[in-house]
Amino acid sequence: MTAEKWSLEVDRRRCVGNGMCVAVAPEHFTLTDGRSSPISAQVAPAEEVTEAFELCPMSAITIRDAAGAEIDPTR
Amino acid sequence: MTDTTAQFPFPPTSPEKAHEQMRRIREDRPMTQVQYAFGGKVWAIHRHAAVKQMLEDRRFVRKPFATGAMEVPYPVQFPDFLKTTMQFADPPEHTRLRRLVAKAFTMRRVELLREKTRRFAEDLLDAMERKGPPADLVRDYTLQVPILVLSELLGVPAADRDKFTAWSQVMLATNGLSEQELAEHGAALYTYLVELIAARRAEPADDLLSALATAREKDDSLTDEEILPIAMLLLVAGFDNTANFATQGVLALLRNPDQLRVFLADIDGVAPTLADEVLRHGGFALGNDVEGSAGLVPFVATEDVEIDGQLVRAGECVMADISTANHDENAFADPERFDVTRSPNPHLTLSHGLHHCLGASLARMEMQVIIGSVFRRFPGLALAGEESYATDFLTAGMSSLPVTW
Repeated sequence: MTAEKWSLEVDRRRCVGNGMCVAVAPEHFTLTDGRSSPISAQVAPAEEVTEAFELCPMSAITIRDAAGAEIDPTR
Repeated sequence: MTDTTAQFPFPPTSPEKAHEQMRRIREDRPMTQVQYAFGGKVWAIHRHAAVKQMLEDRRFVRKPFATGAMEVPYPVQFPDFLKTTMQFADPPEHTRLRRLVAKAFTMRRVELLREKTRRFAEDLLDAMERKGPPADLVRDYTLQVPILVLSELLGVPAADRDKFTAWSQVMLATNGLSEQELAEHGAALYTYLVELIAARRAEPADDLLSALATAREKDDSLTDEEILPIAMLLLVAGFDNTANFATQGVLALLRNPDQLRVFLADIDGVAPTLADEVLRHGGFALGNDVEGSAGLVPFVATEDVEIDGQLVRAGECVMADISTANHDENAFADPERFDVTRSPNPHLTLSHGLHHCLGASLARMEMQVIIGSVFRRFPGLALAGEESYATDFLTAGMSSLPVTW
């Protein structure tokens, strides 16, 4: 588990700049031109990233495992 | 203002003339300082890019309205209970409140409610069909679906839905209730919610009131005084507004047969773009007179901010004039056209940024289901009279729409 990395994507076409991700995971997301993007594309699994994923109103955040498969860490 | 024919606000006029007026306003200046009956002056921002810039700038806040330090500048008075909700909070308070409810309204979660919403719609259409035409589409259908969905979401038991629906009429523009009935229903709704929250706290279920009630237990962060206004806000925003936009969508299609044909040819495929186009342009597509009057809930500038060349001074209020911004040719091709397949459609009706509508995905899904289901059932749906409107309420909407099939 510790060696595992998540890769993060934000669909900027869907993003409405609500900023929940930045509010709960400021080390992982940032708003530029009113839209969110991940600060680094590869991160260690973290609870606040899961919360950002879960709270995004547009469900615009995608998390992938090391193999590139989409995952839902809330399940 | 240099163009004296570009006044804002402007009185009701035909959609064609309103388009022309709004174009002149946008060309002339980014914003107009307007004086309202309540709360005084506010800058109404007209250009799409300028509205977005303001909504993305955290130097514009709402706390002074919530504390009562300033009155909200608006043509009508805002009810006090709304001012205690997250809509009038700034970060970090806003984050704390929104975080508690946001999970229930994400696009993924809302999709899980689509089938249930469809069943609510189908049951209501069955009842309409059994009774036979004509029907009042607002009373019998477009108003009923959102209240059933909200009951489901909040966790109102099926056995209580009839009385819950009746009491919730106090939240409606067009309830037709006497002052005594209003007070009675309001008190009954309040008491009912308090009891339901207590019950869910004792025995949580998989619904929003349980989530709110137990959130308080976990970190002692949410009191009943906070939960109740949230529940009321969900009712007032999610009930009346959703019903009104859905009704507007049905009527807009009936008044624009070319677009109705496009929709009927592929209901499920077109429903998503139709819903957003109704949000952007529904009021214009009805063919009735439209006015340039107000916009979304205002903000207060905490310091001097320049937007699109106009200085907004610290302490002054700003407001998104979404009607004018939603027809900005710099953001929309052929903005005066009602185009049910429009994509992309960056309208600002559900706001943008921090206060982007919490229920946006839910509202879209409900509109898609409500409009799609009625035209699938009655492809020959037609008007059986004139629609009527409520005019003396915050969310002034359509109060009846007589239809036949």
